[in-house]
Amino acid sequence: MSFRSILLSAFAVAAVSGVVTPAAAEDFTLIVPVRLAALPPEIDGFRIQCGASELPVRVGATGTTVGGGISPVLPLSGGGFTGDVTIRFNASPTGDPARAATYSCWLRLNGILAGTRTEWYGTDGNNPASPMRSMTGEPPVDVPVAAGATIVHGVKGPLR
Amino acid sequence: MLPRIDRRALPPLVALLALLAQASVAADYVYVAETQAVARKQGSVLAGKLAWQCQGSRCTIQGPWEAPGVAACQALAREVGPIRSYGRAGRMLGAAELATCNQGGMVQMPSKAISAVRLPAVIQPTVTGSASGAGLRTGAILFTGTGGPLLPARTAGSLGLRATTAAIRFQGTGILLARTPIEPVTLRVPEITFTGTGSLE
Repeated sequence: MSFRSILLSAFAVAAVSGVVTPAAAEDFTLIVPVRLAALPPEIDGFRIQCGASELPVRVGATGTTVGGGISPVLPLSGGGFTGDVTIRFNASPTGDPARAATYSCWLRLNGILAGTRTEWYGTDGNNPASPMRSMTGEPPVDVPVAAGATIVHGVKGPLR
Repeated sequence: MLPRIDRRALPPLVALLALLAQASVAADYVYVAETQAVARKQGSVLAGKLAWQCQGSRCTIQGPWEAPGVAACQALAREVGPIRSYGRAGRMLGAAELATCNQGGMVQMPSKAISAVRLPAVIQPTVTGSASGAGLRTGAILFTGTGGPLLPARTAGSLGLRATTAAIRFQGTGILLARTPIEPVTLRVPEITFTGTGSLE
């Protein structure tokens, strides 16, 4: 690996992990601790996506989205990752940041299944322990979970 | 001894038995709709008669429908915004159906093609059909152009017309929306964690 590519990789990681301070702060900065382990070799990366919406958090709530952001695909190391992922975003042109009441963030696993690049999502946004499923192929493929492991693929809560 | 059955009652009886058999083997499918941007509504979203669960740019629902329906897709698109993909594993809407879904049921043709219509052209504007379940299949829409150019070939500038219009003016306010200023929000959220088994098996 050349010095230039090492430098670029370091900058990319720093930008995602929040080391690089932007000139002007965005409306929302969400720092998401992430701990992934023992993922299968087919899964080689992940993304964290966050959004802000107007309504208070409750199961089954329907809220107007104020804005959102998503990280680039971050690589796994040895099938795992431990660290913080910082998602910064502004309200969309039609969203009012002052009305944003809740946040939600969730995990998207990224990999190759039967020669096709695909993503695994939680099957139920209201149940953070529901299976992570890829809809590529027939039947859909879930990521097996270690016995006794706590699974949290999505978090939500009040913004202020 | 078996009871005697009026032969006229047989067809409805057979149909009823077929329905019961179909109901007993009906499977549930997980339908997924990916939106082109973050869905305008999050959480439980009622689209037509269907209650979807939307998170980020992804909405899901589980049900017995064998095939994805454009009408249901349109209902969802009206609630959450344009759809990028729609269907279940092995049965996804095609590009043309997605385009119809995102146009809210309007079939849009390039304006050039419309302008190119000359007699004899066949246009069948009447579309009839019936809704069945979550899908709607309309009658065919036919359009036949001439295949010829829109205007006769001419040399650029041969008409020599020149006009000066009135000035176009627009005075904006300098901002898109009047917003309440906020202090930027920084928040550390609870941990996202997943431990697999090291294999997809």
